[in-house]
Amino acid sequence: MHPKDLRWRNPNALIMTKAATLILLSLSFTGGSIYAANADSAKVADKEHALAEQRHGLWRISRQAFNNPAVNQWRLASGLTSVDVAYDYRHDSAPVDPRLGDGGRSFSGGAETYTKYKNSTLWGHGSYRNGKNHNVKWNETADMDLIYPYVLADSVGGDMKYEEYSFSGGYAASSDRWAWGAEMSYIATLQYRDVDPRPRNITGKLDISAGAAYRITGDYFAGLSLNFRKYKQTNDIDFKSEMGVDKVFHLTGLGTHYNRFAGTGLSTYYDGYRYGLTLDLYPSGGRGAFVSAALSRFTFDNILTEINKLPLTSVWHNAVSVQAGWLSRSTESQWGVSGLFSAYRRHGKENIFGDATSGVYPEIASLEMFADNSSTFSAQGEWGRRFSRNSSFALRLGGGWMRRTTAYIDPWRYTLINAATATAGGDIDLALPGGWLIGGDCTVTARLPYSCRHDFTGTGTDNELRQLEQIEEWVYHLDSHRSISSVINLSAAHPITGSYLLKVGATYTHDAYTASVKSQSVTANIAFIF
Amino acid sequence: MNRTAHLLTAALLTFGALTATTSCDDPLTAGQTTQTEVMLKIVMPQLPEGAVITDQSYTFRNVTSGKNIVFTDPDGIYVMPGLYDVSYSAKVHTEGSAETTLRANSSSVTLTGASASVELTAYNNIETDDLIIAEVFFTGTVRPTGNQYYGDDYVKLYNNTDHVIYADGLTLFESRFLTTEKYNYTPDIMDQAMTVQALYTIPGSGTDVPVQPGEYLLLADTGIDHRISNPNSFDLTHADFEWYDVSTKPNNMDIDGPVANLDKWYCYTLSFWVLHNRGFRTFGIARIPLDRDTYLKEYLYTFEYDLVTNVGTFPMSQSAYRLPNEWIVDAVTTSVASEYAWQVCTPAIDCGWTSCGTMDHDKSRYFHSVRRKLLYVTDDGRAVFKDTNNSSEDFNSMCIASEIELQGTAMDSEGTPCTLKTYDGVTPMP
Repeated sequence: MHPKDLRWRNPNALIMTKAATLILLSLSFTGGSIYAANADSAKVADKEHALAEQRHGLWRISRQAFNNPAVNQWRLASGLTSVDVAYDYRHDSAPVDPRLGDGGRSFSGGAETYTKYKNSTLWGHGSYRNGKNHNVKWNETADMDLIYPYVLADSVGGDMKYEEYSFSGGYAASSDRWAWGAEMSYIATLQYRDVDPRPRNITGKLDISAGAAYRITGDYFAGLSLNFRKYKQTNDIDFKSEMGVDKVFHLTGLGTHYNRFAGTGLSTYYDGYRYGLTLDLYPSGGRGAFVSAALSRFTFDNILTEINKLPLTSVWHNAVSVQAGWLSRSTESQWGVSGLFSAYRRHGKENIFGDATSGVYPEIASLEMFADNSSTFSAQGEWGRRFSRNSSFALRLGGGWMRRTTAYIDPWRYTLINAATATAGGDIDLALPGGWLIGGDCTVTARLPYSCRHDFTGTGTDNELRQLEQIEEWVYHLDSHRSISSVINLSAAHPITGSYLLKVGATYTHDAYTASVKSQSVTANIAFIF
Repeated sequence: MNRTAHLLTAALLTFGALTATTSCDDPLTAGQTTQTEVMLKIVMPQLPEGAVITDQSYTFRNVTSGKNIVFTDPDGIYVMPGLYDVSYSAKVHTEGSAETTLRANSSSVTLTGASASVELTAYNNIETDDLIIAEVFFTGTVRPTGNQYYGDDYVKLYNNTDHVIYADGLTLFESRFLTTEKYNYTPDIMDQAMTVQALYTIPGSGTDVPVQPGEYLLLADTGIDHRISNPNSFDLTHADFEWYDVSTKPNNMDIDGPVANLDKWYCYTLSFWVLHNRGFRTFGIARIPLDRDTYLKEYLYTFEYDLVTNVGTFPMSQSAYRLPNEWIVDAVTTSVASEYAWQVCTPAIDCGWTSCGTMDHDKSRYFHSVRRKLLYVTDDGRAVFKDTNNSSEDFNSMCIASEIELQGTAMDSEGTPCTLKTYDGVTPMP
């Protein structure tokens, strides 16, 4: 591999690259003639082809199969390396889920590579993000979607700052009969607030997967991969006010909480493991039938550190996902169809403790109190036509159905959501004179819930939690009514020197919910591609 | 391609099988979780002949969820498995006598499995012809700067009877044990005596401090005008007595105000005593039929317990004083919901607890006290308060302190003046 492909691994090189990027960006807009004089047009065309393939390639139809690192080497036909900086901004007219805030902003910078050399493929990613979520209520933890329903929360909340460090790398190779690969990623997050209540959450998510595939006929490979996740999140909430503290709750789902330890246990941690496997049938040439099945089991415990590491609650989450479809490619056109079924069962258990003596709580019972089960069917199809090597357009259509039930035993809480979804979209890549590559895509998704039911009549144990119950009811209200999501992405890439490209892009997302609630977000990024 | 077709067929069959076996609907439905049947037995005391028991109720408080379930029939009681505080109450009507209340309770009862047995021993409410504790203001106030202020805590006693009671000789005490930390103290003397760590006695020869029916006796920490130091506090120069300590800690000296001092019999601290500003203890009054020196000589109590920490278990031995239960006139137990662990006195003295705030260091607790509930006001204007030896039932928790109401001083750190006067923190005065 060329040393510059590993430039992102060296922080100093990364800073220098970013500086060079900014300078070159200026140059590219003021003096495009640099390209005319020096560009290696063949290499540029290759890069632009790889860029177009990465953004709008048919591989998206069979996305699930690439969870097997051995199969991931056939995701893209050619390699691409980029360094980018981005700015994200989100604002909700009313908080869609107050526990995630009503908006936020972040800066991020990172590098990514997908590099091929003979029969080997190497990919990697490294990024840093620094941001803030605004007006987060009833949630003092990170990764709420991962640890729900056992969230540490208070009624005060506020803005939440965060920093995220993300690294991943993988390698795959193949011979005539065999393909193999391995991948590892680690994401660390620090989340905090500077005013009372002052949470300090540190998360670590380590994923390791390894897989192999065996060619059974033609270019069809049957693959198997195993994956493992270690997850940990530590939480410490501090109060500096001399007057005292605000009450911290250990939520247990659907507006309930663990009453006995409310106001205590300001130091907690979540300790989780996930084990999974995938089974795949995939054509290495990217043409023909594919099938991919994934099974996983994720479990975690929520432990109160300051009460002698009391194991308060635990969750098991089983998931299955099967995707099957067909891919077809020719020099002029490509199309693909796929069907996806996915389902999960997520159950939460609360441990019941006896009378504490000398600060030690004996466990006397364990009750499964919370459940969240979901099934989803979806189908999608894409048809695209190529005008030239790097100019193409594609149309996408999709539809689906989902059903989700959540329940809490005592007090009785229940929600049922049935929804149909319809998606339409298209994307285009245009190679223009002067080396410009203009890309754009637009997707509109309509979500149409029906036959939804809920029961929040079970009496809560605490008036202080009425606000939280209202949040759960609000989230259900939005979830059980029609919503439309629109995403528009535009980008322009231009060669700057040699085979290097500079890409600028922006993505606008508009989500419209019932009650005139709108969520809008904008992402702008500049990438240096080589 | 033939093999491919077979593989695809196999894959699709797998797909179908997974689809068929993964049902979305949830097994968790109301009532499906196995509940525990409770076999409840109440051991009744000896009641007068002809006594009629009515209004029986059986209350199960789930310690885990905080939920109360009340039954009126001891048969067919089913509850979610867990830890419970179980209580029983009933009215006893005896011809020619006043109505009394039967009570029984048991804390931290484990009810798990298909069925569980609970046996409660009931006792008839004991009436004492003496003063009662009407209010305990232990939280203190806050300066305009937001800092805590100490020294304006107080205890108010009340004559709930229709005749004069002499307060001299009455001893104000504080429990040694915290309601928020339970240890297996040995020897266990709770059925015979309460363990105390502060004893301050009202001076007098027996008839020097009369308290008229419907009158209060104010025992203050420091009987000075606290508004001089803290505009958000109030004046306690009208207190009847104050507890003053000669401190041996130069950095923590007590203030000897113009108010008469209580006789200090004993206090654990070498500086000065303040009421625990989140509660966490039982406060009471007692009539000790001994002189100070005899009591201190004969009622020392040495107890042992194991202190369990992350680094090991340590056997501990400490000393305090024991106060026989029969000497105790009244008591009120205080704690907070998030920390409450146990009752530090026998249920016959107090089988409940009251609070200011709901958790340790609760910032909403300041300016608030616990005040005894009003039962009724007599025709001549005398308030009669509830006294059933159950602080949970007898006291209003988290009330604005009565001295703040009476003096119209600040009821929060912003200095907002209090404009309402009540009998008990809830019922407005006319």
